[in-house]
Amino acid sequence: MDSIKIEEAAAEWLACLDRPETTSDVRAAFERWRDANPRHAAAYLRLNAAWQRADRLQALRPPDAAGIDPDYFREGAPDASEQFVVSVAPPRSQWRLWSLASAAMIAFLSVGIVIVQSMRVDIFATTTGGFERVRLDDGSIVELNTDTRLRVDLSRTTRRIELLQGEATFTVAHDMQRPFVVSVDGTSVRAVGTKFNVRRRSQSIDVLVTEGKVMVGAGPAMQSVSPVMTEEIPIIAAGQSVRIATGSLKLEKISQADAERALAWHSGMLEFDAITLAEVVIEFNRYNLRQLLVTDTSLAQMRIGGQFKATNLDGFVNVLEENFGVQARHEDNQIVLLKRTASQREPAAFAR
Amino acid sequence: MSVNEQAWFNDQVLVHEPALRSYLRQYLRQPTDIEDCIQETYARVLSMTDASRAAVRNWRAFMFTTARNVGLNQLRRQRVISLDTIAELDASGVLLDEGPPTYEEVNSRQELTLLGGAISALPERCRQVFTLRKLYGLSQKQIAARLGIAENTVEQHIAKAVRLVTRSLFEPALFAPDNVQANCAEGRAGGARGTRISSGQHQD
Repeated sequence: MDSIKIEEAAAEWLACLDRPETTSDVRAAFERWRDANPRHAAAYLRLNAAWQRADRLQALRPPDAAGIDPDYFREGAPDASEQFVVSVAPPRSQWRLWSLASAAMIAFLSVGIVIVQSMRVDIFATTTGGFERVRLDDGSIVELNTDTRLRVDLSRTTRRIELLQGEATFTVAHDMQRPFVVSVDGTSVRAVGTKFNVRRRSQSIDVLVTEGKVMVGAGPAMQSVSPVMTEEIPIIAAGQSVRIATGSLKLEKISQADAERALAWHSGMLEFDAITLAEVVIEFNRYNLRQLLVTDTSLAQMRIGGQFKATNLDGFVNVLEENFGVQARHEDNQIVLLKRTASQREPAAFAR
Repeated sequence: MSVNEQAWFNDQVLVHEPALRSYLRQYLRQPTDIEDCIQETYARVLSMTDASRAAVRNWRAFMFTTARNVGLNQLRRQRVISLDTIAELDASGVLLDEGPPTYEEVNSRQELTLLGGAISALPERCRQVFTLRKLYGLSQKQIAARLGIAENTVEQHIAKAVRLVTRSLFEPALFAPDNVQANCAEGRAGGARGTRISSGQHQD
């Protein structure tokens, strides 16, 4: 058994599949290779795990204005500088400088010199189907749902988070002096010490508060330490959710059960309470590269309840096929959901 | 093989690889034997039915046991059999009582230091291609244009880089308090390791 040969082949497949130009024929050939031997699958999954983990490097991505530097990770051979006399310090890679800067900062602080805390901007991101829990330097916890990207900017006076994409839950560490503001486009959600979820949708922003309160308003007004309280700045309290769409704001009270359902993604689950298949499909599609498609309007209106693992697409499709009179057609990167034709047996039972 | 299968494999199986490696290094002297053993162990685990997977209570212990059985088979097939080694490996059940591993919250900075170190250790062209692909999100086509090299060459660099980065990420250095590296220093398979893990840790 030549595990190295297999690993090399797996790496070649991975690099090939990474190209969007790769045809479905080649993808099918890959699947045949992978399924031919469990060792092939093992080697591929292992490499793919590292390949996906490397997406976290986006957190180090410099602002676009800084340009693209292929040598961002070049190591300046620090060992060599100790062995040979050199007149100039060797170039160190940017990412190392970045860590050194924070180490230096800690050193300063520990001898009691008050300095302005460095302005560091971090970007956290997850890929499709991903989930991440991050502890920020101020002690706040951010949970990132699938396909999410956010920028964190902690300074001495403010804590600013920009939700660039996706959905996240914030458990904010209490700090009256540093407001915690999450902004999505022009809208900001401001908290002092509380727990809330923000989801950026294509047409709206959803905010759900599970502890404490937050204020929602236009960006700039939210950034100051003591924003003027006006009627235009609504306060959302625990147990309430709000949907903000262009020019309108819809506040509604939600039950504990609804809140838990909305946050089921914290444990990788999707929970539905009799919502339409069309909505369910939108949810599943956030977590999976293979997309569900439902075109039949009466099928799209069918209501579904229950709990599913967000990434268990095949399991969900099986349930639909077995209980809901659905026939699935598997295509390249999508699964089309169709009504089962009349000749076939009617479904035994609708779940709800 | 779904996204789900990948997630399961990452969380239940791959997470134990560094510990598994340092365990196997005590008994398998040849680096290729270790690679074979790990790949075969994974293949066995992947071939299990959902029902038998569901019956596994402690994946860490299960992985170690499977790897031990695979390793014993390997040793018995070898031309020159070291009975001592077989006996040692056979008797090495003690490791299995450690209970389930504890998962820490993701320490994003540590993870970045580890990844950054792995990439710094790549050969130059590999490193540049990988950086452009993963840090800046350029496509292979765009990378080829920017570096003035053929798209096929970019693909080859990606294939090589992903193997080297994988090897770095699953190295046991962080996980092996009992320093078993000394035993197998001569047997290292490639030059991708460097000192990045320790230097990364000190700076954190």
